[in-house]
Amino acid sequence: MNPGAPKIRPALSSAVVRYGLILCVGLGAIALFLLATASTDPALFTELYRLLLVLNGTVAVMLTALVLYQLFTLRRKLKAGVFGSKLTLRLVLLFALMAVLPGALLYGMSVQFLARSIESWFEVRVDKALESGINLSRGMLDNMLQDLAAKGDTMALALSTRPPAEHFAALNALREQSGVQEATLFSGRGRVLAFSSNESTGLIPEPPGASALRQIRLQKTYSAVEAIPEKGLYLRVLVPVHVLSLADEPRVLQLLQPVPQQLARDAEVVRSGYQEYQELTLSRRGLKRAYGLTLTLTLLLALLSAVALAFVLSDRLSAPLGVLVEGTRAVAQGDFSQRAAVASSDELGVLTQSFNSMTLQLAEARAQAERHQAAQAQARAYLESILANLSAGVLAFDEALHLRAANPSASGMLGVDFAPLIGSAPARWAEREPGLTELARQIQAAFERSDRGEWEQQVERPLPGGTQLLLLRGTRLPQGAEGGCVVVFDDITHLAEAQRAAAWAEVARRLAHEIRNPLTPIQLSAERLQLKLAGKLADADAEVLARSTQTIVNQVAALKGMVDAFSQYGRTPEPSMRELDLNALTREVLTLYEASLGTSVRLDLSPELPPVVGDAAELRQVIHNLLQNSQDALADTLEPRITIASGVADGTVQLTVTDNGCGFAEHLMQRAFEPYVTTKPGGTGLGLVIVKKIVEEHGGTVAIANVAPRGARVTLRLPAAAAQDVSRKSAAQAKV
Amino acid sequence: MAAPIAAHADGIEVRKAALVAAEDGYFLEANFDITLTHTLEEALSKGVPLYFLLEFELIRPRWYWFNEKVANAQQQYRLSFNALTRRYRVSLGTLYQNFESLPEAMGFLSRIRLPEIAESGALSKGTSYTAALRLRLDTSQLPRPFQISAVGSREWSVGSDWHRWTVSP
Repeated sequence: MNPGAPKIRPALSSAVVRYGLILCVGLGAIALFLLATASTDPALFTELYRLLLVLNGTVAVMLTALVLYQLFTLRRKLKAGVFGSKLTLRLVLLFALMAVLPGALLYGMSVQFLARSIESWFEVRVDKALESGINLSRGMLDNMLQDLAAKGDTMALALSTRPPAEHFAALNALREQSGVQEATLFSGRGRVLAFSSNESTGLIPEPPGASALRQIRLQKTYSAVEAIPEKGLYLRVLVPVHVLSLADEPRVLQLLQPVPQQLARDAEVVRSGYQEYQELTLSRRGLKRAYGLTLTLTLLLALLSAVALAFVLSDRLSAPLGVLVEGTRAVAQGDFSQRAAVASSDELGVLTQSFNSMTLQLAEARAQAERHQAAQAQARAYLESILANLSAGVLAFDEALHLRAANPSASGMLGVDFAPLIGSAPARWAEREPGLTELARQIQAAFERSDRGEWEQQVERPLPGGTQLLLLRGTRLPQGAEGGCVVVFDDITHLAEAQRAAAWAEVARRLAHEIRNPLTPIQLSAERLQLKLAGKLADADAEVLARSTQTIVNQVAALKGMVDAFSQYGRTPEPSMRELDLNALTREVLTLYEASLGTSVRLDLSPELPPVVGDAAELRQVIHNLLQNSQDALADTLEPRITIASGVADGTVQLTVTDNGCGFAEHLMQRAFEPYVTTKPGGTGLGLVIVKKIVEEHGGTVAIANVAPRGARVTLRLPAAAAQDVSRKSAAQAKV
Repeated sequence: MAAPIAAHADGIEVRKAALVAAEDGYFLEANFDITLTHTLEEALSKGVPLYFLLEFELIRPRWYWFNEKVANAQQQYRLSFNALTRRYRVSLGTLYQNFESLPEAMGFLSRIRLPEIAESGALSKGTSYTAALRLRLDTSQLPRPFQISAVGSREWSVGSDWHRWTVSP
């Protein structure tokens, strides 16, 4: 059986049951009323009894079908395990028991009482009394009849001794004598010969019946009591009158004597009583059957209606339970919609209403929780978006210093994907990310050192292209629900470099200023010494003087050059920016080196190089410095070669200068861009510093590297002007 | 015009039935075999009057329309026993006849002559008519309790089936 089947049409089936029950009970009530009415109305009863029986039987069958249908439905519900069906069954059984027991008791009593009361009508004594009464009447009538017959015989004898001619006269006399009301003399064929009566009413003599005449022909006396309608009981006696002569036909004397009225009335009362009693006796079986049938039908209809009603009532009683269990299931599934309240003022109604208010509260609570959750999610998203857009790197740790979260800036800054590291302590980071070893160690150590409060620390992190300087700030979050630690760090490499560069520029400027002032007097003084003393000294001395003077002048010149370089580094002229062709600039600078470098320079310039925006003099200085560096590096190289290449890489204009010289010393690679770091004898150590400063002012980058088998490469990257140009142009077009 | 003998009927069967033409019209002559059941005889002897109903129909069958009812007649006979006089009486409306014994009374009832069924000219020559006759105990005239007993009881439902025969004057 399909468990869902009973749920398909519950409304329909209940409607069928309800209307069927109403119909059946209504019909049954009408039929029973008619039956009860008909029982007291004989005419109606006989006419309608059969119809009523059929009607009642039909109603009973309908009710039976209804009850069977309800039973079937209930069984199906029980099998399907519909909640409340067991209660319905129990209620139905209770109701049915409550209806059936008293009904059966009443029925039994009624049937018994009926049988007894009907039987009690018929008593042997009454029977005997009535029988005796009728016999008494009969005996009395017989006596009177015999009396009359005796009179008849006497009269017939008297008549027979007389000739027929005298019969008429004699008849009257004889009648008067014997006190008979009516005497008639018939011929053998029934013709009236003589008639005598004491009453005027009986002028027409009553003729004898055929059977009486038959008996007379046998010469026998006929006597009978006859009930003549509207006249009452009569005694009739026929006596044959013997005639002497054979010529005369035989004659018949008829005597008619009314039974005295009082007697006749009493006899009639006895007779009718006897008849009615006999009728009753005969019909008691029928009566019993009729009343029994009526009772049985009444009982059947009542019981079936009661049982059918029991089903409906039980359903109604257990329906709220179904509503509640359905509601409970719905709540369990998270559906807080309101259930139809049971319109009842009893506890069940209160229960469903309470249930509804409970679900309402649950729904409100859930809505509040959802709102709360949404607010939290929004706050978290807001926080995450702030963290994501923060330029500083943020690392969050839990109490045990396991990584909980890292923002994108942290990943970008450190070049590390933090996702695999989440949940692991810094001590174990090195296993996955060796680049983080120092950082992790510092963080761990810092938190262990300062168990409370904040700390701040700078960490240097070696990178392939240099050193990254990080400023870490650690904070232990206040103890609470969300304890832990947060590390915020910034990449202050550029800042530190800028500070250092600014400091050097100031030093250089001051130094240049301080040194430049005495240099000119020194040079002038040396030249004056030369001029004044050259002629006065001996040749040998003059030679020494000249050489020394020359040395001083040369050194002063060198010193001046150095001071110029310093002042150049320190000054910050306003650059005049415009679009430049880096290829043209490179060729222009190269012309200065054609003499010294000659054929060792190889150009690999991209013809489709986009222009860059920059200051021509400064960029020229950059190329100049790079070439100078290469030239210096190639001093001891047998086959010097310098390759200058330009191209576009990642949307930037790239210029590389590669040589096969001595290359950068490994220990200097990281500090190559700091002033006074040099490998060259007599180098100021400012070449690459100036290059870097200028390139960065132009928004570009400088990278240095050694190349195999020997040599060094410097790579410049400058933003292409084309992109800015194009966007500017398109904006202009859009405005037109 | 004699009719074939009807099949055996319970209690009453038609022995002979005929429509006889006379000067003043047609009359019905019918003989029956009447056997009262024990229950009926007992009821009668206790004074319960029995009513017998004679029903007669004469129709002209018509294939194109409903049958035409030419004549019909009903006669009720009342058979009673007077406990006081110990006489049986057959009444026919206000007319009556007394009998000393039941067989005599039954004999009278068995020979029935119903006059003036139809007038002389009512039946046309050369046409076939169907006559139907039956005699039955009229249970609706029984006292009420007997009627309840009579419902569906063979003891009480005495009567002949419809006896049909063709009449062609």
